[in-house]
Amino acid sequence: MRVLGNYFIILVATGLLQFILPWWVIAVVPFLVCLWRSKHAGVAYGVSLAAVSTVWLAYATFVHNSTQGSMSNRIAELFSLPSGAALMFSVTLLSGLVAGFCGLAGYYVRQLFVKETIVTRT
Amino acid sequence: MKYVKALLSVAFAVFLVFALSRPWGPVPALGPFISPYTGFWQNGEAPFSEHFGDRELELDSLREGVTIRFDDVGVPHIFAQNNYDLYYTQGYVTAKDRLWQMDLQTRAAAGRLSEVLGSRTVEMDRRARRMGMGYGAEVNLKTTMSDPISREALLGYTAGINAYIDQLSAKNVPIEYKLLGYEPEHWTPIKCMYMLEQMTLTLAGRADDLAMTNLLKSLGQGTVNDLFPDYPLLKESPVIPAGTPWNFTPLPIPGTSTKKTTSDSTDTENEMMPAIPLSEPNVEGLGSNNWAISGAKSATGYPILSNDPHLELTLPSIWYQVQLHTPDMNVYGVSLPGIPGVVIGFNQNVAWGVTNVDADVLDLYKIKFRDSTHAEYWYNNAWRKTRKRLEMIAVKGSSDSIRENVIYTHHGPIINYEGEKGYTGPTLAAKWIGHEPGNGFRTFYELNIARNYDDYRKALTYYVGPAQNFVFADNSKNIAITVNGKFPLKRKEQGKFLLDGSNPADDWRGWIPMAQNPTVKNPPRGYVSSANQSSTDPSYPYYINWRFAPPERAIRINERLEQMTQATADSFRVLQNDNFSVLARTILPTLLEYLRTIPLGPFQKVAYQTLADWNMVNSAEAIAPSIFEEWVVTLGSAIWKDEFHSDSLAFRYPTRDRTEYLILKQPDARWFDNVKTPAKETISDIVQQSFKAALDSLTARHGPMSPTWRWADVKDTEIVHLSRALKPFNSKPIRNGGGGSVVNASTHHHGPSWRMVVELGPEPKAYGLYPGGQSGNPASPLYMNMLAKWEKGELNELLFMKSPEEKNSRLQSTWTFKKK
Repeated sequence: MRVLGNYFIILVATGLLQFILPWWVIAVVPFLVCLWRSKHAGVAYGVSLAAVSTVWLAYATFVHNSTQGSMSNRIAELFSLPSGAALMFSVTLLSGLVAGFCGLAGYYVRQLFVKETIVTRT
Repeated sequence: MKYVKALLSVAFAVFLVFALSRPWGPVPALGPFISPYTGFWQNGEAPFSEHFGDRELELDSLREGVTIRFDDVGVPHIFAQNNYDLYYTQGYVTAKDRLWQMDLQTRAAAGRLSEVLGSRTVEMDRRARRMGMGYGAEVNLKTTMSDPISREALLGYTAGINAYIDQLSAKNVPIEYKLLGYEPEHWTPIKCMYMLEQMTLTLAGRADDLAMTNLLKSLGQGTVNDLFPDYPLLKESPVIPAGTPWNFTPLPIPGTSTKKTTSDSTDTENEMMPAIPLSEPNVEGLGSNNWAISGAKSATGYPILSNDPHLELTLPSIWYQVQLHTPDMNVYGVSLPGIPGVVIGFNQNVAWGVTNVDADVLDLYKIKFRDSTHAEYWYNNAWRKTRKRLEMIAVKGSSDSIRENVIYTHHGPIINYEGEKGYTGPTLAAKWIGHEPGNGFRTFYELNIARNYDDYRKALTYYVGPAQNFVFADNSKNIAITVNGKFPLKRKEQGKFLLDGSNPADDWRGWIPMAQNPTVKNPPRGYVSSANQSSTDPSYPYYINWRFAPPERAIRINERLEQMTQATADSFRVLQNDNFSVLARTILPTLLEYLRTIPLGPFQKVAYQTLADWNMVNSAEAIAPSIFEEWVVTLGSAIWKDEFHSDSLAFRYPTRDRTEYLILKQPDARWFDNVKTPAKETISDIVQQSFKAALDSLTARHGPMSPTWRWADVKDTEIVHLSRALKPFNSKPIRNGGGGSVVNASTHHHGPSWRMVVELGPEPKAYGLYPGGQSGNPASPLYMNMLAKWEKGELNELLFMKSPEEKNSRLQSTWTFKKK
């Protein structure tokens, strides 16, 4: 449940905070959430990646579709990508990687403060 | 161990965020750029554009309310109660559509590109600083701000642009800012002046002086007089019809009595002048057409007027359409983003347009400094003090600004120093019309509210430069054209060659009185026109320049206007798109004669026959114009390159008119011989060799002769984004006819940047468009919505509204500005 909880916390927090704060919210939020309540390195990484990717993919898809790719397709061409969809995929992946590594960092920092027993208890 | 893991993982996370927060070479900082919340995604626009929605805005500093109606092509029709609000709103909507363009062009003019683009533009910026663009902008601002009407307009326009900038959020800044990684900065009135300086530089910023001086040294006075005459030898059809009387007593020309031969300053030393950027020859296609016919020639009985300025074709367009309405004004036309008012347009009573005058208003002076401090220079047998203007060029990515001390003589700023790196010539000062104080805005303002011929004449008195042929027509059935600008009072050929900066006789010594600028009103022939050709025939008592644009466009326009009766706006539209080649008519039959007598290969025979069968129209589908245009260029080089070209020194070929004269009237001239070969070539050798070479060169570029040789493909007109680097923002290839020497002057990157036709009458009816659209956003449906029609040579009817409440199916949305 904690995994799902973290997923939704990161999803909602980054999803909303990015309307008022710069892009690096997608780094800071996973870090803080995993610092606060993560249990496994791999899960911290995966949950952060998944949550932020979901947000970016969803919003990028919405903007791309509502503007019929009028800018995204041109930018894709500029970056020598075959299509706006390929650009969307690359962007989503990149955001996920940033979030994943930041979540992971959060988890490892947490390990400095948390006793072994708590970590291993399920 | 866990400390290491924590440290490493945090370090890597921080590195990732850092790496995505900063630009890498040409790639912008990726984090903000790719974020769907703030990045490029947000610049997308739905086909159903934001323009097509009503809005109500409350704005500071407005005095009363303003209504803007947007029509179906995105043109704002602005209804204000006073001038301040009017120009405020013009500034606001222009910024909404063209903010980055305004920023880029004023930065280029001010020499501030490096501040946002980095070290690669430093030399460009340095040139702008040395050209005295800042000095020119400042003196013009002073004059403009001292006039209450202009001051109010400039302040209103500035406030409107800034109101738009202030409400922009990070996600809404134009895509170019995001790509280049910088933020919009506030507008200031001097930027309007920089825009005017930039136009002056584009249209009057070239000088032949160095090339002509080299030619004088290498060929001697006699040959230069013969090959570079001051008026076309073969054909011309001047702007002011030949024989028009000059109804004034001309001023004496100062310095004529003390006239020295033009070569004095340079003959003593045998140094040749290096090529510098402003000595590069003019681009053909950088010119314009305008004309008007009297009511006697039109179907309606009222005058009709046409204008199509030819400039570099870019996206967004150089022009921005707008209608401006107050209780005292109702004008429609095109503005230059960055300058309030309408530059080319019409109102209820008058219409006007402009083409460039190729006046010699940029002269280079050789300067001798006393020493390396550059504090004094030799003038009139004494040392005279210079003034220094410290220019700081900020460079992105570098903490130190480049200091450039620009030295000013009484002629103007020093543009090149003897002995400086990469330059082999003498120290040069530039005397340039761009440094003269004027109030160009006021000219256009007065035209915007003009009601008759007298108002037109009054408007012209405010104008300094770049000199334009102002064509005019009004409801009282007058037509007129004036070669207008501030022209230096020069002795003949003064400034054709490098001038001596130490000799007072070489100074600009006064101005041609504005009232004596060449002008004609209601000439008996029933039409007026200009196409950058010679302003007058040689009877005009003053010297304006020794060369103007080649006369073919003018000749064709005048032939067609001569024949026109019962003309309509559509007759004018057809003439704007006329592709007939007067150049081909003049020389092609003679050239083909030289080919008739020699054996040709099968492929050459086909090419020969194609030319022989050609109707001399540069149409999109024809193959003949591709061969002819290539051949003419190759032939020109074959005749002149051996003696009139150098890779490092300034040189130029004789004019096209002189070349044609040589071919037609002087077939035995020694210039046909290529001095770089042992053989002695004749005209027929040169014609034949160049024909074959042209075919070879076309084959090399486009494969064997086939439909890929169609003129539209070979000419390859393309409209590129202002950045010149962002290919996805360019137009698709344009497939139209045209050419540099035909009326429809579209070339690879230049052409008709605005086509307008106005039928005067109780109600004006007007048509126009440009190869682009109102919006500067590449994702907007209004980015190049007029392009397809432009390519086909069609025009849009321009919606001339009378009141903000007007009902018309073309009106799409209404914005209301209220005072906060």
